[in-house]
Amino acid sequence: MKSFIKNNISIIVFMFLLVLGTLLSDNFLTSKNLLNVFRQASIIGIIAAGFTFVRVSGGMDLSLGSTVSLCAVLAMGTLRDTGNQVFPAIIVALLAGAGMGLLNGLLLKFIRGDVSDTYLITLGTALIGSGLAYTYSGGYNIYPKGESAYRIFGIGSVAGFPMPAVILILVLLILQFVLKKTTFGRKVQMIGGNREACYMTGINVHNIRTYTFMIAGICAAIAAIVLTARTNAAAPTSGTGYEFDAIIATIVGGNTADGLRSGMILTLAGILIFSVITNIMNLMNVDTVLQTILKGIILALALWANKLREGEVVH
Amino acid sequence: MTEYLLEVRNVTKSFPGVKALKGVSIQIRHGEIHAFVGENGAGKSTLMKILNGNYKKDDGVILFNGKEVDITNPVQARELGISIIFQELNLASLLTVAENIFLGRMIRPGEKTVNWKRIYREAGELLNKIGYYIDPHRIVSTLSIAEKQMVEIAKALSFENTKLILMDEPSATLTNKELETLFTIIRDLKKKGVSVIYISHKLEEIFTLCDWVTVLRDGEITGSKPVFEYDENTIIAPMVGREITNVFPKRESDTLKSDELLRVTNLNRKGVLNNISFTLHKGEVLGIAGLVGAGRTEMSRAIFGADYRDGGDIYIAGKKVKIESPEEAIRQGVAYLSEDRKREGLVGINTIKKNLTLANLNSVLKFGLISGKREVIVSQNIIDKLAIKTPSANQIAFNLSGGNQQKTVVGKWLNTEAKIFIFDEPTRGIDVGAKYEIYVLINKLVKEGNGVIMISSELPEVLNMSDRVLIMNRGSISGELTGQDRTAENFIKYAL
Repeated sequence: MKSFIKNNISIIVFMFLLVLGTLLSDNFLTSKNLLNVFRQASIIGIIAAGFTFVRVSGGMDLSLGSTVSLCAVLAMGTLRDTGNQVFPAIIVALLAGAGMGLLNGLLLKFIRGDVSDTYLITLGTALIGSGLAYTYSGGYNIYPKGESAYRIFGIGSVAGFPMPAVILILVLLILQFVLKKTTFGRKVQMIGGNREACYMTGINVHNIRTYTFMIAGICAAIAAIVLTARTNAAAPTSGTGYEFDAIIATIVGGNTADGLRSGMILTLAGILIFSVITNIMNLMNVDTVLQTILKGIILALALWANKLREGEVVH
Repeated sequence: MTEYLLEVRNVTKSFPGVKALKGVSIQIRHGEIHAFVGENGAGKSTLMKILNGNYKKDDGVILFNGKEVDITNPVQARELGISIIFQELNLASLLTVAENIFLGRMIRPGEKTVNWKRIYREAGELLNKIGYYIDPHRIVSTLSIAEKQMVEIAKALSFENTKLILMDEPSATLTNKELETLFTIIRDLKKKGVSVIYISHKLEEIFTLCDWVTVLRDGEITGSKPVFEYDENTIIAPMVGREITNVFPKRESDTLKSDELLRVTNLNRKGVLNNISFTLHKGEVLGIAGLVGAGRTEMSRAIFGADYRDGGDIYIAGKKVKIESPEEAIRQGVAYLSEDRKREGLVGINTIKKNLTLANLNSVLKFGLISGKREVIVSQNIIDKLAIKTPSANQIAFNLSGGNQQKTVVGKWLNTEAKIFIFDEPTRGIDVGAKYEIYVLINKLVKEGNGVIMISSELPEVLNMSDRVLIMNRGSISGELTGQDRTAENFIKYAL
């Protein structure tokens, strides 16, 4: 019984939250509200999915919010400047996301750094990304002229399901596959546990870390596309704060930094828990500042809960 | 004074899935050097950790100086007068030697702030007393394993009311000279009435040093007698439950006609390696002997691409190859079993299964993807082949005993396409039974046409197992012994 609770704690917490939400607000269990939760969850979720790779290998990425902003302004700017050509806009965003990830990886390799250095490095690249976004947009919002097929990514739907949610599910499926079924994914997990031993077993630790950053960056780009498709606008602050939400979701879901416990199912649980909590707080008109404080407490609790489960037998 | 310093009566201890101690009873007298022997997983370390307060016993009674005690944490153990030196070194690597020795006791009663002068002075005195001086200002991470071991000993001796010192494989990393120093210290302690519990796999040490021997097997005491009532042969049966006649398995070797497998020419690294050249043949065990600091590990790491080298070429099967990283070395068929298995051999926090397959993930692929089924089969195969003691392949690697951890590392490399195996201290911390198994394995490897380079500080092992022995001295190869020349005297000649 005890181990069942320990292994499935995220799901139990999620169930509890559903009940709590229903009790606290009449508007909670409506289809309009739940669809909204999904839509919000999607953007954070896509970022969290990519961040999971960084987390599992022991690293941190504080630059994802800036990456979203940069990709957002670049995508919208490309749409505006090419007369609403969707394909170039997407390519530019994805390249920018991958580029930020590559930058993180190269800087880490250059200073021959390890996990603890990723905090400072990504803090630095966050400023770079943000600076580039401001420079490109001149500080203004960017709007494309009129509508285009691009908007499907934000407001379209597939068989009744909102497109953002569909994209999220696709991303989760693909990344779960990569994490669990490829040799690359296995290496990501093992590096988190002991990078020295992995190096001596022939794994190129720096390259693997670079790839995890690039995956996170590309996911941030995808999230930026969904976000800007929904709002049909971009600002150099579009992505601000998203990195914290994504990080909290990944950790709350139960992904540990030592590679022992990892997976998109955990991340999805974290995303849903996080989104439902945010939703309940919004429905109850909790002050934004208070919400941020509560999110911080949730993160601390999740980290503590993760610590307790370290070193147990995984099946 | 009570008859016994320490009495353990019917102590049991279980972990999930494993009964580590099944009702053990022993007696330690005052001023007695008492050996604990037994295979890996027999329960020796577990019992030590209960005495040191790291683990809580499930049942039974412990009497110290006639009084019943309940040792709940290491601080309490120290207050009682029990000190410990762990097999897995327990030092804070970023602090100095002196800070480590007095960790947690930097301020004496009566002092208001740390008296650094006193700390460094007393640390220096302790190290002098041991006869192995290290500058107490040095940062521990810069010390060699042997030096770290000495700091641990100094730390255990720094407690003034110590009546019992627990030593878990203290000699595993020491050279003969350092071992002599250790023995002198222990005999000194005995004279002062301090008792020592000495865990070691090296039976010669036990017969030289100890007064009493207690044998454990599978969590039970299978024998406890004065040392003179045992000899090398009669002690093995209670340890493994069966007779073992040959310590080193026989092997036919015919390497004179054999093909060249690995050739190293003019390997150089400023200040560390000096024009090293040698050849390894198919079917050969090439021993590398030398004193600690001679450069054996450094040479292996250079060949494996783990360390930088200034110059030198590597040829595999006659062809020159580029090896500048472990990745490239492994691709060329070289495997390296590091002497520091905890830091470089295992991803301890993860499962045995995932550790065993890490060096060759291709072995568990099906249609290019990782197959859980194949991984289970491959890993269980290795566990069975090497008799790794574990309730399941999903056990966390760090939960294994030291020797079984080593077997897991060996198993990982056996699962690769490697043809050249560099073993750096392959049987360090492994018991008699498992050692034999590893020797048999090495023989099998070379019989199949592979080549083995064996670095070892255990002279009998390296002299008996190798076809040829290279002796290293201060970064150079100083001599080569073959055939009848493989003696300890010749070793000393070249090693000093």
